[in-house]
Amino acid sequence: MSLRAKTLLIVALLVAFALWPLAHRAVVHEHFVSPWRLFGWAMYCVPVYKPRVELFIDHGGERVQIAFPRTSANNVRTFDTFIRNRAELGTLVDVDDLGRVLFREYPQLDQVTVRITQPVYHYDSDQIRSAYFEHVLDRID
Amino acid sequence: MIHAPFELLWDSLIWESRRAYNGVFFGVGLLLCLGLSFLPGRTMLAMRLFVGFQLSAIVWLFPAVSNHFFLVFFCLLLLSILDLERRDEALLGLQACRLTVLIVFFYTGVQKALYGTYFKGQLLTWTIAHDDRFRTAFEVILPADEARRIAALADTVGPFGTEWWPLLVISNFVVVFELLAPFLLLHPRTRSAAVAAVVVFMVLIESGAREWFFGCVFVNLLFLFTRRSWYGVLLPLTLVFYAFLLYPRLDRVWGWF
Repeated sequence: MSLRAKTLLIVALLVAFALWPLAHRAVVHEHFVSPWRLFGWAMYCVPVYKPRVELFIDHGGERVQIAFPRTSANNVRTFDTFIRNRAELGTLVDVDDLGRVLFREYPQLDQVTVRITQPVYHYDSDQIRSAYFEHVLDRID
Repeated sequence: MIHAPFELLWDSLIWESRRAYNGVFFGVGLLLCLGLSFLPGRTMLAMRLFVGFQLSAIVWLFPAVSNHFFLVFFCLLLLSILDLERRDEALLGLQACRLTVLIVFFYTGVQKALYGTYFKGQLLTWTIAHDDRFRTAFEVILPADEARRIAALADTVGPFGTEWWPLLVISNFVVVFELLAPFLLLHPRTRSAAVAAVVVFMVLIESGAREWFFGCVFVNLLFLFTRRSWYGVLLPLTLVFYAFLLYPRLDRVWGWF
């Protein structure tokens, strides 16, 4: 590769590197991604909190909370990985892995609602507020 | 190239077993590439292998990749495109890495300004309330009343912020400094003073944050801006410091055997 080609490649990489943090702000805003991640250089800009996961089923018309089955090391790893990834990548992380474990551990379950509570910083009031996300998962045979 | 393997090993040795083995695998791989770089005529090959290995580590670690780990990767990626044995390409590599550092430093200030959590000391009070390292560092200067008020915010939803003017000055100074320092680093006349000022700034920040690897990476990158090279002194010191950090965690490795 000639020096000119190498220079152009390096300039292209630097331009992308310089523009990405602006796009990063949009990704953070849209998907509740942690500003501390994904190389947007927004560390120490916003408080970070882990999300909370609650699981609900419909039991005779009533919404009943169930526990995530931490019955094996694999299940525990799945849950902890989900929490970690959800804290970093927000709504870019789906709940399918949780659903797989739930439907395997609870064979009688046809549907489960996953409710995720994500504490977020509210800029107008300088307070922490919660954003809620609900995902309904149906068993697919 | 010395930062990535040591940081990866240091992090890995407190993870649960399976993840720890993988982390050590990547860390040792990076160390081998580093070792290869010392062989005559093998530096560029070693660097390119290192970049490939580090990219694999980044993919494996994703999304929990620290920003400075990626920063090291990006600088090495730029350098690996070039033939650093040639003076003109080495100079291009130096300029590219300097520009990378400037972009990062400038954006840390821009992001703080755009998120707006420093103008009333909001992020600083939240961090002091929730992080023992910062609470310990700021206890030295905070009056008892303000320290108690901030500590009480820990289990609340806020509002976060302060009216104690020294903390407000510190908070706003951080933003202003991060916005201005890149320009001072850019200009040859102010460059040396800017390097010294940023090093002092980093030492003060890390006295609270205690993010040793980030601090070392950034201080090492800052010395790209000096007229003469300090790496003959800086790199051995950094290596000794990293070995000192890593040593207590090696007990875990001995436990595997």
